Amino acid sequence: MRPETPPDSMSVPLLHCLSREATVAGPGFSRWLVPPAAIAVHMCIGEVYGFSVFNEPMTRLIGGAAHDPTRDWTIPQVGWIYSIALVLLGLSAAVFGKWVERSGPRKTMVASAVCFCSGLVLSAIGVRLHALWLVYLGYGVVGGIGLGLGYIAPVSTLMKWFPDRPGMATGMAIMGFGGGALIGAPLGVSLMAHFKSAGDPGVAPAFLTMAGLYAAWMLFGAWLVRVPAADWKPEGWQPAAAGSKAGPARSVSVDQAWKTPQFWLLWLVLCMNVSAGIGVLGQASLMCQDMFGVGAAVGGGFAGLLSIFNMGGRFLWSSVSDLTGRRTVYAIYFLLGALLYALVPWTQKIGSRTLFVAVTALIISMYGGGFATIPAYLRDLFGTHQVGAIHGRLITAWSLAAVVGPGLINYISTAKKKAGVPAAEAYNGTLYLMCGLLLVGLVANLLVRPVHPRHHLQTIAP
Amino acid sequence: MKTVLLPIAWILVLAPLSWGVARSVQRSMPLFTGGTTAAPEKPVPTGPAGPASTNRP
Repeated sequence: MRPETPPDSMSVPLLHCLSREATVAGPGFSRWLVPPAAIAVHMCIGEVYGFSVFNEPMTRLIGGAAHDPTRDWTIPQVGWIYSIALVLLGLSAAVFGKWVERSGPRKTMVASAVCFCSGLVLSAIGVRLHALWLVYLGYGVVGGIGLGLGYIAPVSTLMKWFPDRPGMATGMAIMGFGGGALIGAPLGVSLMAHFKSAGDPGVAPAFLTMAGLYAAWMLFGAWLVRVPAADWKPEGWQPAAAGSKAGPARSVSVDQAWKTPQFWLLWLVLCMNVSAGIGVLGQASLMCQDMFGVGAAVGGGFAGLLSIFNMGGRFLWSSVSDLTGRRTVYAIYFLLGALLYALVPWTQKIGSRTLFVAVTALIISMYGGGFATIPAYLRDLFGTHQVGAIHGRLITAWSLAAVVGPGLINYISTAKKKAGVPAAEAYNGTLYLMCGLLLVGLVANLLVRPVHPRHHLQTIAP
Repeated sequence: MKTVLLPIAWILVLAPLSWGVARSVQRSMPLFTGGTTAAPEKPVPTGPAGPASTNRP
């Protein structure tokens, strides 16, 4: 397990052990150790999607059991913490992508752990001092940078270890991100229940405990990760000719990829896929309650169930893409997705809750699959050389959709209800809008063609 | 060491994920055991990102 390359300078052994050179795997290293390293990081940073469990307790920091409207923070104010973190996720992934490729996965994972966990610590201090700006800075800005770094850190490494199954490999890591909320939300609730006292909902100690736990897991992932030697390939595997249908494209640099129509078509593909998925995910609990007249417990259970399908779909659909090809699998997401969205109002009309759950679960599995398949799609078009950095820039599509999408959908359904449309039918317009978005994504996907050779790198720097 | 590390690494990541899935399945049980009927109108959340955000990348 020790690095094969001796340190260049013994005076800075710590910095050296983080370098790309120090993480080159020796003979006999199992590539199956890399996915758990990636999952360890992704399932920690995926906690951001469970962050909403802290929103309500953070509005009772001064008033205690009762919210004090004159001094306590409000829900819209604390809601911005999550939005800032998401924006910084996209921005940092785009800005630091090239640095990530240069520095290698271990240094990036450590940087991600430091940012994400110190963001939690700063937020704990902000909660203690009741300084909202410090929570914005901590979890939103510093933590958000940790999210972006951690999200793209293992992408190109996994694809280099699994050139025979790149979709499955990145699907596993991104599945971990989906699972992060399944862990983060109940963990946050349990910790607050453990630490709360009269007048204190226990948010600050919960943040500190989570910072410690997540640091341990993320640093474990950083210790475990290795990059393959330059001449390594899976046993018995023969690479397809570069640029052929079965193999990756000739490499394109991140700065050049940015200028190709293929990049912007995939940007649109991701943006439409995310915006449409939010149509169900963002409103899941309320939609179930309104459409079928069930209670909040059933609605919450529905949202929880969708989270499992969101996670599972990431692994399953991205693995399928290794067999069908990326373009085909995205065509399935968009065509089948649009059809299923159109069916949702019908399930309400016939009063079939089971069918409603089945249809929405399949939609959400494909939504997750869309996220997990995009790195392999990029690798097919732009090669593996700077695919992590290109992926980082593409994530800005999700960042935009994640902030604008829910606001738009919330606005439409609220406006319909205010206009007197029955609650059970208030979502129909939104669902048909989602169909439209998916069809735009389908057109963008069908327009994707191999990158013109003039964009290819002539020589690849080591 | 190498032989032991592989299962340990997978257990360390799959155990928390399984715990999260189990909690979610537990939470979703009312969906299958026939939830109670509630009042049709619900207040609409007004946060900047809409309701509890579950839009995962």
